[in-house]
Amino acid sequence: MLIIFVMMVLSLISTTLPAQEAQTPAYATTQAKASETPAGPASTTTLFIYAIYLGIIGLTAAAISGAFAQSKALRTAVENIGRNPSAADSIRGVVIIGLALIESLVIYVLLINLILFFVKWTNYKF
Amino acid sequence: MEEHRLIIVGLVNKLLKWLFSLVGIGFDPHKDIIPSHIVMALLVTAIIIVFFKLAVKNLDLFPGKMQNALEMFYKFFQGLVDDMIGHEGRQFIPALGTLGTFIAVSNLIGLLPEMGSPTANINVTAGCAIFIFIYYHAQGVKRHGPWGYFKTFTGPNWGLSWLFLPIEIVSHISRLLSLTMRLFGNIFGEDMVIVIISTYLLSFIVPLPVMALAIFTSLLQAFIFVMLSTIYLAGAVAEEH
Repeated sequence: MLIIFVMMVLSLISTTLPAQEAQTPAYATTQAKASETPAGPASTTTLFIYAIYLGIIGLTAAAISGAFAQSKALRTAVENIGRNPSAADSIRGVVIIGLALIESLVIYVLLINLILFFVKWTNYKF
Repeated sequence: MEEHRLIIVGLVNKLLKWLFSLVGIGFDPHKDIIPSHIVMALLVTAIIIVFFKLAVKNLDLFPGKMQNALEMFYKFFQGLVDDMIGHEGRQFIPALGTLGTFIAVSNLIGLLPEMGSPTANINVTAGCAIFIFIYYHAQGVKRHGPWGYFKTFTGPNWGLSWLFLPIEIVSHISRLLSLTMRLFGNIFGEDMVIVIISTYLLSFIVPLPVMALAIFTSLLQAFIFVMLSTIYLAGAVAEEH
């Protein structure tokens, strides 16, 4: 399963790479190259695309791990409420705090993705 | 995507620019004097003040409906503080209750048309977190004295203070950051989801379930903020046996 997922992601990434330029001979004029962006090997558009891809992969991983962790915590809490119904109030308080603390880790990853999405990549020279 | 300019923010800024132009100071006509999150925060404060002033007008020994509801509201915070701090926590109920009310109302007000949440801006949530940070440190210093409060950071004995002190400092600063980021991320993320759903799908019907979820998470986030502040206060004010 994991191998198929990795292969899918890599094929998606490779379709967005810029096409390989033909090797120009060294004595070719540099006039043609002046119209390219003054950036280095990677233009800002591809950097933006790579950043979005990495961000989405990270966010997916965070959401999956967050869901697993919260389900474990909730499962133990509900089992113990069933065992000891008079402790329901204290357990409820602890569960809500615990779930919110786990969820805040997923929120941090979302915030990093927002940064990657909203930053102006054209402001930076690469 | 561009910001939709709120009506109230436009009116307030026009009024201020006109007032300043009477004195002779000119402003750039395309920019705001007071940004939208501050106008919304002042609006939320005004709503809370007016509502509570009207609510405590006729207090009775046998409470009517509104007083009953407000007493339940007060008992909620009282129960919260009693669980964590004990009986001496009564003095902290005004600060925590006000902060909780402000955060809850300002989270919810973003769902109305032509209104934005002030807490969707990181400066407002950082302000709330900085307030709680200074408040619980000040309460700790008031309780233990400055040197005594510093000693609570150094751990059980002096031999290990080199280990405990950096850990405690980092954990306290991470508390500040985590309070800010949690509230900002939840409210701004929810706003962003509603905006994106409204842009790309039907504008009126489809955001409604997401808005219902947003009501729930707004109240939950306010509760979490107050609960965590109570825990930090309890940690700062605690008496060691």
